[in-house]
Amino acid sequence: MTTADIIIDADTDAGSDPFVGLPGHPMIWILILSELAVFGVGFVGFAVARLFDPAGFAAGQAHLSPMLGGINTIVLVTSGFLAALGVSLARGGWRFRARGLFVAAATVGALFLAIKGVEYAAAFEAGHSLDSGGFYTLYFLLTGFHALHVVMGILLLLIVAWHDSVENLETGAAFWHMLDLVWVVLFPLLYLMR
Amino acid sequence: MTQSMIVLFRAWGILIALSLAALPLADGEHGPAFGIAVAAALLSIAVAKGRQILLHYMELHRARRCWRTGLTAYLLVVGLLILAIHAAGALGWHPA
Repeated sequence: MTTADIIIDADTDAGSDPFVGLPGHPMIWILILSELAVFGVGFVGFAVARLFDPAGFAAGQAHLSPMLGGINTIVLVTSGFLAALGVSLARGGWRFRARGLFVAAATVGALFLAIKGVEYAAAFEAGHSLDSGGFYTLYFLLTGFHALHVVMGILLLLIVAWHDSVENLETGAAFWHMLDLVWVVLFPLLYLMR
Repeated sequence: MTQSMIVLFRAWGILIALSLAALPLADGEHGPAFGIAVAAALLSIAVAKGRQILLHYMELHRARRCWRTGLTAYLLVVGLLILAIHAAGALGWHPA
């Protein structure tokens, strides 16, 4: 079965409702669009700022660990996978297993934060901070803003695991996947593109 | 195991494989042209990963086409803007 085979065209359903077929509460999708707009501006802003100080940005990037960033990518997409699997199980009536998968997704999300903490500790130890200017100011702003969303996402995953209607689980998972989506752009931009 | 679970497992595997494929691209010193090619490859991988997340994790395959098109376009526009700015810098253009 190909992706094309499983695409269901919701355009033929439910008249003019733009939210038809989307999982979760419609308002989460408004929030997701808003967040993506903010992060998009941040990504482009980082790329523009690098134009003004390419040597400083290259020196700052050299202190980051692509390996830790890569591990965090795998951690986050695995957490997203667990949440998506939880939604699938909840729809099949497996509520207890779905709740367990959401708690597991939140736990793996906490591992992302722990690895991020190791990175931050190394940066602080090397004398870098939010007000260092240039690369490190943007690095802390972008990754810190994302990490703050991860904290909120973990709380949301735990809340919907407790109040585990299918719509709640879908809503929590949609927010969590948005953080995956942001990270897959943020990671190469900050860690890999030299 | 249901069909949707199989799709999720496959998407997860693709995401892991693409994440691992991106890591070696960051290694080593390289000239401007090669640097732009590497950036293009990294951003292409990011867009491919984003598309997997959109379609299968966020389940946009069930939604109206405008959501799939719009959010894929978001990834492409952001990726192309970053690449264009990166290429300008790599080719020696700096703001006054």
